[in-house]
Amino acid sequence: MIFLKIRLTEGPNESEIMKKLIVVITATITAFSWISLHAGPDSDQAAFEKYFTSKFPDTPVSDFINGVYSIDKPSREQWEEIEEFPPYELAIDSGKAAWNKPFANSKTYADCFENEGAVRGNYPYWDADRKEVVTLELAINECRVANGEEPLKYNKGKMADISAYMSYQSRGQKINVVIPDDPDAMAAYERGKEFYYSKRGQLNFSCFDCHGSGSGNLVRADKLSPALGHTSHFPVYRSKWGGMGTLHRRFGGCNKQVRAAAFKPQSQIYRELELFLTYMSNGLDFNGPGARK
Amino acid sequence: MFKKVKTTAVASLVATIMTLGLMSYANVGIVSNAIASDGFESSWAAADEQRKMAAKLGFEWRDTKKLLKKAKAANESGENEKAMKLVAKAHEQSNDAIAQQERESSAWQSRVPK
Amino acid sequence: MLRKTAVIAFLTPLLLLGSVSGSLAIADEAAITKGKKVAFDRKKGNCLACHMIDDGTLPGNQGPPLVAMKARFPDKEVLKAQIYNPLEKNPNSIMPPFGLHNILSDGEIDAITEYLLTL
Repeated sequence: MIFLKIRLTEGPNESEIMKKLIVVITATITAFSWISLHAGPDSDQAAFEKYFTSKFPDTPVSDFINGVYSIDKPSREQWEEIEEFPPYELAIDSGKAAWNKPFANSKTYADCFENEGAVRGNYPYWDADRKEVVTLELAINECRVANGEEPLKYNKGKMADISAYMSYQSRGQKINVVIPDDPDAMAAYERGKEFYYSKRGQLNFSCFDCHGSGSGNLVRADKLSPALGHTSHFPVYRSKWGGMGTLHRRFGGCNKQVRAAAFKPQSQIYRELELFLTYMSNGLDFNGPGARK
Repeated sequence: MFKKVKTTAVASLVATIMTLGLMSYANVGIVSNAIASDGFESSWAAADEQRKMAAKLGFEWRDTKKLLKKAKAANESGENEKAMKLVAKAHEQSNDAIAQQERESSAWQSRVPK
Repeated sequence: MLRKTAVIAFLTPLLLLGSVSGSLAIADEAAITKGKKVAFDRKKGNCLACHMIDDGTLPGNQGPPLVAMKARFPDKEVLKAQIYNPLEKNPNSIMPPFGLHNILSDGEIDAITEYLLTL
């Protein structure tokens, strides 16, 4: 500031210097905001992972994909028994049959998805042309519609079956969500993040209240699962549902439990939430479909 | 024969009284409903408007729509007081949801792990 | 005779006092019973979801056990305010604002407060 004053009083052409200064200051501000924006997702992810690894030091980071069973020994044993005859097996079979059955135009899902459907690791992603998040389930329906078939309902049923089959084919692929250098993509990520941490509904809970700061605690007899790895194992067979459900079905269920109005599955905000939450688990394995209580 | 006529006469008398009674009751009902329902319609619309505002912000509560539905049903079956109470409850829920959004817009950041 | 009257005169206020405090105790008892019912009801307070309370089965542990409440809340109003709106004290509190969001009525919050102070 002092320097500025001296220059201004000493300088021969004050307005020229002023102009240069404004340019410098503007450039600095732009650079800083660019850095703070782009430092976002990466450092968010590191802090998120560290939050859970320090909260549950006995759990190896790669094990968080097993949800509550990664932090609860007694229920893990039961779950491992269940996994010997997994309740989602029927869904995989039905999904496989659907995968192989040609559409009316004689094309199949294989014309939309490469690698025998083992593409779980490519979703969700930011589509720069469409300026929106594309999820696996959205892509499945777009494949159907492009081939003249009716779109499927997103929460359960056939959609969950095909998603289960493709997830099964993709087991072991790494979660590697990319948020590109694009203000629209960043804004989508930020909206998902804000949704995650905001309290909502009459009961006033955020997602993080239960699955972050509350994770590991008991609600009645149920232990709250940690958020790290949360999207890795969907779709899931849930005993409470008595059947399969997609990730967005679970989002809706959580929202209703806190007495908030649920959003539609595959609505923009749920896809952005999926983008954020999956990004938080970058580096872990996809291991769907799963079985949960 | 006579007996039958008598019965019919009595029956028609009863029917007339009942009809008159019902008519006057219905009249009162219609009048009071018209007055109340005018207040109800505008209160209901205002509450629904507020619910839409909360929804637009992404903070609508689970039961607000249900309350408004119940209010409409109560109003239609003539339970005006109950209907107005439900509308007020729904309106308050949306006010609370909008206040919640405002609170959260500057509160959520502090929960992000650093 | 005079003595008898004096005794009656002396006793009457005592008896009256006794019956008044008796009905007060009954009112308290009713509030406490109601409070416990509302606290344990899953669709009302559902306090057991997060707190260990009294003889409630399968309590959660999101919040602290509700014990020694009178010592922890010597001022009844402070406890009531905490149930009404815990965000007042801590905007990140995980506890639902039972009064602010009309999850419970004022009467129900009063009753729960009476009940909790017996713990």
